[in-house]
Amino acid sequence: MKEQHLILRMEGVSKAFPGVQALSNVDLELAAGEVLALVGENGAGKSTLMKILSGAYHKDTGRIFIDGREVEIIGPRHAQQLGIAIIYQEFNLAPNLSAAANIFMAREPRRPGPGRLFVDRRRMEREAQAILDRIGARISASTLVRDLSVAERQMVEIAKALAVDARIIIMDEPTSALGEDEVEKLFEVIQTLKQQGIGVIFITHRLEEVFRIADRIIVLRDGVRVGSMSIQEATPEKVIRLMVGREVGDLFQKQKAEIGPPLLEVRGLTRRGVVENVSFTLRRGEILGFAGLVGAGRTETVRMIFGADPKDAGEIFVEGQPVTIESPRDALAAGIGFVPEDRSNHGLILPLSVLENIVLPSLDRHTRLKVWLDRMGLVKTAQEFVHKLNIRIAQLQQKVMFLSGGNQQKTVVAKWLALRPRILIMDEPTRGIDVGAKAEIHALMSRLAQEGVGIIMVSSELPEILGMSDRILVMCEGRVAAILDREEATQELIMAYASGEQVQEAARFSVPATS
Amino acid sequence: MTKTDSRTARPSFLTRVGRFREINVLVALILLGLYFYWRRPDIFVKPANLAVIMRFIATFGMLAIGEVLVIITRGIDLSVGSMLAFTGVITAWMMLKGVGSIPPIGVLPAILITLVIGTLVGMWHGMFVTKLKIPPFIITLGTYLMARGLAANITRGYPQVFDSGHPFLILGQGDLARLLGWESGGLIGAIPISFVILILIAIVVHIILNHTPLGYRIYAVGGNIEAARLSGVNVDRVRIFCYATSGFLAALTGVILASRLGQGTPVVGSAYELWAIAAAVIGGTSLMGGEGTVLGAILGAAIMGVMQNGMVVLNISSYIQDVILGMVLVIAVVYDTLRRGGDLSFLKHWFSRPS
Repeated sequence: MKEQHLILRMEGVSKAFPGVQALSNVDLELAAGEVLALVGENGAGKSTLMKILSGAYHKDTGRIFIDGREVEIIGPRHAQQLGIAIIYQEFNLAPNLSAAANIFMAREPRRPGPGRLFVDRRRMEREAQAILDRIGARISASTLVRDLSVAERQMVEIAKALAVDARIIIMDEPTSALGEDEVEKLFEVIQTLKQQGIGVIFITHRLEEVFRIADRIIVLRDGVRVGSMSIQEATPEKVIRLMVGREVGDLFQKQKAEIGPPLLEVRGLTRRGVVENVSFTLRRGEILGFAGLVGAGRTETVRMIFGADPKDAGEIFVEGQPVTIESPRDALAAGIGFVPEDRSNHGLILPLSVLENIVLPSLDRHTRLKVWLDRMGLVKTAQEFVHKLNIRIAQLQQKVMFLSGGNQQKTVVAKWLALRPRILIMDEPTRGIDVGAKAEIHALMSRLAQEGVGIIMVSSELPEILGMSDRILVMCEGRVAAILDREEATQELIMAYASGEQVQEAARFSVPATS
Repeated sequence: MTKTDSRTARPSFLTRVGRFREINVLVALILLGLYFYWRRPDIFVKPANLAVIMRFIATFGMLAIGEVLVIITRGIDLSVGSMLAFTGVITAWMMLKGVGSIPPIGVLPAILITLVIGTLVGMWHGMFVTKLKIPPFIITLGTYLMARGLAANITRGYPQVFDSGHPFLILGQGDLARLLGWESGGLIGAIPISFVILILIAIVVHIILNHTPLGYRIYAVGGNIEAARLSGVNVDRVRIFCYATSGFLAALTGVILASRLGQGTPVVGSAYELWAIAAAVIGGTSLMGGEGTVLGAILGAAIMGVMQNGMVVLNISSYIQDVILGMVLVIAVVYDTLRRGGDLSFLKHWFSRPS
C-alpha cells in the first residue's frame, strides 16, 4: 500500500453536534485502486465522516489532502469538482427520466452552433452508454430509471459519479437493498473501478462482504478510529471486538421485576421481503430487547405488531387470546402502546400543545356522554403524567415543538402511559436525548416492568440492550437470529448474530444454547 | 431549573399570542368599520346597510366555516360555489315543479332533502380523498364542474322563480323583526335570519372543535396525520366528517341564497369557493393545515363584507374593489406568516444585488 499513490488523506478530523462528539481526531487514507471498508456500529461516526468528505457537513478541525494537496471542502458541489462522489442508500435519481438524462443531469451536452439552446440527446445517450458499458452494466441508457431494478439504479448512480470524473467513490451500505446475485454484479463493477484506479470507500454492516471485497478495513467506534488493518491481518472476531469494545459503564440497570405469565405471543409474523417468520413471547414484567443492525427489520416487526403497517402473515395473542390487529386502533384496544422511532414525525403532533399530545390516545376516556370533553379531567391526567415523568414545561399549553428532545420523548411516553397499556413497545426510546433524560426513561421502564407491564425495547445501543433487557432477541435480515438470556448475552455475541456470522455453539462462550 | 425555565418561558408567550390570533383580525375589522363610518356616517351604519353586510357575512361565513374544517386537515373544497347553485336549484325544483311524477313537496321536507344531498356529496369527497387517496383539489374540482352543469341541465338554464309571498322566501329575506312580528325593531330587528343561522352554526362547530374528542382529533390529523393514526385516531372518519360538514354548509347556504334571490338559478355562487377560502385565510387559517378557528372564519368573512360594502358606499369602481380585496388577502397572509416567525430576508436578497 505504501508504494501506491495516496489519492485521499484525512488527518485529525473532528466534528461535534450539540451534545455529542460525533468524530474525534479521525485519520483516514485511501490509495488509488483501493477498496477501503469503513465499519462500525450504528452511530459510530461513519456517515458523519463521509458527509464531511462529500461536503454535506463541515469539519470542526482536521485537514484533508487530495493527491497530497490540502483542500478545504466547502460544499457538495466543491467535493464533486474535487472528484469525490457519494452514493447514498436512498438514490438521488429522477425516476421519470432516462438513465442517460440522470447521468448527465444539469450537465446535458448541447447541440453545436446555434442549437446550443437544445440538448443533444443522441450524444448524451451515446456517452452515457459508453460509461455504463465501461463499468459492465447491462443497461440501455435510454431506459427510464423508473423501469430499472434497484441494482440497476445503483449502476446508474455509479455511472453518474464517473461522468463527473470521480476518483473517489463512497458507497453507503450499497448492498442493503440488493439480492444475492445483484451483490455479485456490484462487486464485479467495484473490481472494474479498482482496475481503473478509482478509490472506493465502502460502508457496510455485513462483515462477510468486507472480507470479500475490501483491501483494507478501518474500524470506528464512538467517533474514534479504533483500528486499521489490511484484509490479510483481519479476522471477523478481531473486527467485531474492535467495533463493540465499549464499556457498559454506569448505564442504568433494570431492577428485578417479577416475570409473570405470557402477555404477548407473536407467531410467524411475516411481510415478504422485509420480515420473515418472526415468533416470540413477551411476559408480564419483562423487558424484551430487540437488537440488530439498521435494516434488520426490527422497526418493521414492531410496527406490524402495533398495526401501523400491514402484515402478510402471522398471529398475535394477548394473554392467550388471539387478537386481530389491523390498525393502531385495534392495538390500543388490545392494550398495546407504541413509542415510535421517529419522535417528531410519528410520535408527536408538533404544532399542538403538550396537553393535547398527551391526551390524544385517551380522549374517549375523558368524555361525558361520549361527546363532551371533560376539560378538567384532561388537564388532571396530563398534569399527573407530566409530574410522574418529570417533563419540564412551563405550562401544559406549550407547543411540543419547542421542547428539548428528552422532554419530547417523555411526552410521547406519557401519552401512552395515560392509556395504562399492558404492553408497551418502545422503538429506540433514548435516541438523541441527553444523558439525564435517558436515565430517567430507563428508570421509568424498570418501574413499569415492576408494575407488570411487558416492554419490547428496540435499540441500536448494545449497552442499553444489555443493561435493560431480561431477554434479547437478535434480528438479522428480517429473521430472528437468536433469542438470548440476559446472563449469556455479550456485546460480541449479539454483534456476531446481528451481522450474520455463523456462530458456533462452542463460540457462545461455553453457555449452553437455550434459544 | 434555571436553564429550562428560560427556554420554556418564551414559547409560552408565543403560544399566548397565538391563541389570541383573532384579536389581530378583530382590530383590523374595527378600524375598517371606523374608517367607513368616518367617511360616510349617513349611510354606513344605517340598519338597512348593516343588514346587507350581515347577509354577506352569513353567506361567506358559513362557507368559510366549512373550508376551515377541511383546510385544518390539509384539504381544500373547491366545490362549494357550484354546490350553492346545485342545491338552490334542486330545492326550488322540489318545491315548485316536483321531481318526475312526484308532486311538489313542502318547504321543510325540500330543505331537509337538500341538506342531506349536500352532506352526501361532502361524504363522497371525503371517501375519495381518504380511501382512494385522490387529491382533494381534484375530486372537489370534479364536483365544481359537475354540480353547476347538473344545475343548468335541470333548469335548462332558466331560473326557477318563486312567487313573491312564498313562505320559503322568509328564510333568506326575513329579519328578526319579521320573524318575531315586531313593528319596527331598529338595529336588532334588522338582523337577517340568515345571520342568526350563521351564529347558531358557528356556535355548534366551535363547540365541536373545542369541546369534543372529534375536535381535538381534527386538529391532530391536520398537525400530523401519521402521528394521529399511530395514536389510534380514525383519521379517515375524521377527514370524511370535515368534507361532509363542508358539503352540508354549502347546501344550507345554497338554500338560504335561493330564498333570498327568490329563485333557484344555476348561475349563482360563481367563484364563491375562492372567496370562502380567502375569508378563512384572512381569519388565520393556515393552508399548511393544523390551524384555524370558527371565529377566525367569521371575522375573515366580516372583513371582506365590510370592505366590499364600504367600497360600494364610497363609490369605488367595482374593478378596483377586486384589486383592493386581493391586496388585503396578500397582506393578511404575509402578516400572518411574519407573526409566526416567517423570514423576510429574501427581500433583502432581492434588493441588494449590485453585482
